[in-house]
Amino acid sequence: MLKDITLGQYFSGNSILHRLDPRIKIIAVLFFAVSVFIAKNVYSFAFLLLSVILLTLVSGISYKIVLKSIKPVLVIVIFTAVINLFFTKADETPLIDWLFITVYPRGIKTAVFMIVRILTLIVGTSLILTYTTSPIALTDGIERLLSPLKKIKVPVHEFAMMMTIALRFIPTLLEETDKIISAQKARGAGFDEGGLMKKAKAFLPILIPLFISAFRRADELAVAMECRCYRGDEGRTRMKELKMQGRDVTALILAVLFTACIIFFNTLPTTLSI
Amino acid sequence: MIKLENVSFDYSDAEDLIPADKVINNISLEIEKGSFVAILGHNGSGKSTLAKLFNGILIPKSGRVTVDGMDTSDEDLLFDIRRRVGMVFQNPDNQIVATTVEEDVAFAPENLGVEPSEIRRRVAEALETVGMTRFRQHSPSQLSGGQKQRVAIAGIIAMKPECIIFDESTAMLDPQGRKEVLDTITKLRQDGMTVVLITHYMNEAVYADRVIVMNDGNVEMDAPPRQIFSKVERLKEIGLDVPQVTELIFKLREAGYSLPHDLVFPEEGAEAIEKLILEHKQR
Ligand SMILES: Nc1ncnc2c1ncn2[C@@H]1O[C@H](COP(=O)(O)OP(=O)(O)OP(=O)(O)O)[C@@H](O)[C@H]1O
Ligand SMILES: [Mg+2]
Repeated sequence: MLKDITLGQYFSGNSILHRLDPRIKIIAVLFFAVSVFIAKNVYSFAFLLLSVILLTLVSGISYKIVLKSIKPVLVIVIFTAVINLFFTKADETPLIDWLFITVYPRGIKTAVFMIVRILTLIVGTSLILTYTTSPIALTDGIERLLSPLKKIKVPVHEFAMMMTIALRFIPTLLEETDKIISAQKARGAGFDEGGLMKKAKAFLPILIPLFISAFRRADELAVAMECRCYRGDEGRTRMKELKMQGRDVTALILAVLFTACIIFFNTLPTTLSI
Repeated sequence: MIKLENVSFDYSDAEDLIPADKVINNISLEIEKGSFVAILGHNGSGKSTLAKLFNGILIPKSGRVTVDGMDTSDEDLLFDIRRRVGMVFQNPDNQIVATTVEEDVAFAPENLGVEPSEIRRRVAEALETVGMTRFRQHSPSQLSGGQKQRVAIAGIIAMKPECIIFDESTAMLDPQGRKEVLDTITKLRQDGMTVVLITHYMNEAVYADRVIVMNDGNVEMDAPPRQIFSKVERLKEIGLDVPQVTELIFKLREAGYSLPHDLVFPEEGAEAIEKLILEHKQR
């Protein structure tokens, strides 16, 4: 049951998005996120929507999967839309004025723009980063982007190593949790009955063995790493070097241009803006 | 290549008032380059502790361990010692560091600072040796126990050590996985690797050139397998088994049949018994 949880949700593939340098993708996502937040009129939002659709096509990932990524945030989207719809006040004649409910045209505009803003942010970042970048490439990218911080003694390498090991052991520990749950059930433990307190208490017999085993694993792993000459960052090379290629430079330029376009569209005159 | 001189070890810390029991008790021995040594002993007899002394994971409390002349108590030499003496443990899950097979095999050469192109070569070669090339891109959680253990071995091979210690590396595997790992060890032996095999399976130990039997922190016996397994009674006293063939021959000999006392392989046992039956028929 627990094994079905997938983290990072990487979909392997060979599109140009997949092949881009993770460092570039992280930077591009920052530009994208900034663009989403500064977009403020119908032109810039239309441009955002268009580019997300374009990204989907380029990534080669089925639109169904992309739509699925929206599901977990649907509640937030609806909530934001409703709040904006009913609580935006403006100096104009309301469209609806019934009992205590007033809806202004401006409220509708804001609600729609908010929906587009959240959806493009989620879909865009998923497409650029999590869907098309393997977790290991992502940690690698983060490590190398932050590596200047090593000079001021920030443990960047150690942090990246921790991330990698965490990613490596998530499936192992989930499997183990499953086993412990089965073992406790076989001894008559019930996990689905009783109130919240009772349920929480029922999980104690799972957590304790899980922690003990995790510590034992950590101990053994540390020895195994020492046996393989691990001594931190010192003198370490990497099999997969990250090398900037022509396409990476192009992608970076496109990301900058993208933000510039949004700024430009924002200046176009229109009544449809927030 | 590994030399122990009057080595003792216990797990007490410096601040402990009462010294803990000695886990390794004044042991001297030498593992020769290119040899195949099996270490036997009951649970808690100190086999794993001994193995960890071999590559400086543990440092002796008294005495000296040297690898190719380098003392393991010298911290500056540890890196060079560990790259020469690799170690494979029992649980493959707790040895694999990375999220893909090839990344994991690359871990040791990366730590050694090997050039990226050379790392790729070593990874390809190591995966070829253990027969896991097909699974290069897989995540460790998609592999069987035997496959995972072979990846762990590849991770050590890629370091290009001169000696590999296997600490009960087949203990958690099913017969198929065990065979996979043993075949890999045989292959490494052919390439001239020094192998130290710690095991509870007697039929694995018979293939060694030399068997060391540990008992409560002491070396009880140290001889070629035939000589070791002919001492059936003593082995049983210290809580060990003998190979099934040896056991059968031992019982037959007790019952008065004249058979050689030092048979360890099933084939030679079968041959000897066949000969015996033919002799009986002729009479
Ligand atoms: N980390 C430790 N701290 C304290 N005592 C330990 C530690 N590891 C092992 N011991 C003790 O040292 C003794 C020898 O242990 P060791 O693991 O070397 O035995 P072993 O021969 O490998 O046994 P097994 O066949 O079970 O693997 C045991 O009595 C054990 O309790
Ligand atoms: Mg042991």
